[in-house]
Amino acid sequence: MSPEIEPVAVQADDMVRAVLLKALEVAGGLRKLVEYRNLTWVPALIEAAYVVVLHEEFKKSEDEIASFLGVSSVTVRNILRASPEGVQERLEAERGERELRTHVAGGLAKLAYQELKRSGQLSG
Amino acid sequence: MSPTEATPSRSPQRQPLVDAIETAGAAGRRAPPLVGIASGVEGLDELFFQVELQRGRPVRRALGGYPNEAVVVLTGVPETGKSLMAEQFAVKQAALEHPVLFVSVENPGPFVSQALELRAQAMDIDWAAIREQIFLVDAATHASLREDLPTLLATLAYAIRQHRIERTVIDSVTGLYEAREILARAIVREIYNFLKRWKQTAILVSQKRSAQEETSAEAAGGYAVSHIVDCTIVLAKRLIESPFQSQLYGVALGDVLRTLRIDGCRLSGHDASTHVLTISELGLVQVGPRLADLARSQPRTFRAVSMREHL
Repeated sequence: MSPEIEPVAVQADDMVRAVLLKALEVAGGLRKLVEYRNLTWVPALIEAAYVVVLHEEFKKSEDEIASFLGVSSVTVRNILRASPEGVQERLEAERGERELRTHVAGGLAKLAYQELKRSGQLSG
Repeated sequence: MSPTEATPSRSPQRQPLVDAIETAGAAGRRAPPLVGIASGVEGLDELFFQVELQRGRPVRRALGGYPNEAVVVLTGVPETGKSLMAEQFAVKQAALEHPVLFVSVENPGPFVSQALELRAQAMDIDWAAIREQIFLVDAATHASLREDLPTLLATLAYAIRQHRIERTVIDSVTGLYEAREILARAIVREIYNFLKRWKQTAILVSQKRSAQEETSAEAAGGYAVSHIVDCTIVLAKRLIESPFQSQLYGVALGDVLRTLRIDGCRLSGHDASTHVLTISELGLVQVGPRLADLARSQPRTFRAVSMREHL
């Protein structure tokens, strides 16, 4: 038999972690989240980071991502349609809110993903 | 800083990507030489050509195979010879001492190895001498290779780098977007970019649904895949159901007539006619005459009579 190549596994989790850390940095860093009582935003950012990575890198469909994260397809779609344009202004307007809105989290995750891609820092 | 103070907006996507701009001359200097890469299919290599001017007149020069570094899609309904052609390419290239990466999405590795051995026998090539030159990636068995594109590409990159591979076969690319056809274009685009980056001459097998029409873009595997790749070859078959067809093509009633057509190739000139394709008892694909020539070669009286019957 011909020689067989074993799979070289690439984990989505490593990429998601990188996108999340970048998104937190863009959002002003951990200290700022504490100061403004915005730590409750973190789950929404994790969710958005997963959606962006699974869609952009792993070419997963909206339904596949929704099923994996246990959220609705509408939520996934909203994150994917979110614009990274002017996301920081929208973030500042949300500072007093306990929950980070889906489209703002999506825009932030996309912005973080794009910056990592551009600088070649995103790998499995 | 107050909670209402906003930091300046960053719009990184509006920054020009200066590295993406270069002159045609500079890009051309990085282009690979236009040479043929033997397909292992008798009658196919001559269908790709280059046109040269000799004494001011255009003259065709056969390329002798698929254009170097081309990403070629072989598409067709089941049992048209796609996988056989892909296997013949792998065996031929291995025999020419070019290591080949064979990604199997449909069949587990041992079965692929068996099929390749049969192809080598049919091509009169010593399997023992070439089997270590063909590296199998078994995406049929390893779900992560089928379902996680980054894992597949990282595995291919590892093999290509490790074994200095310049020839790749994926049978079939359709298996990578099964049940999520909406992503077909995005997945094929990613694979295409990868193969170009790694300078591969590659064969992608693409399964065509029988309902997809033969002469449209759908014939190239559908989902606009043909717009992405460099060359598309469409394989088809038709059952000979009438005495008219039987006499026209010289094929017995009830037999199958297989055909091959190069639908497009942006890297070189190519014959655009539909050709007869045969599969021998040993499972060897050969490209025969143009379908038009085959019909013309039948006795004229038969043709006239058949045409009247048909009308």
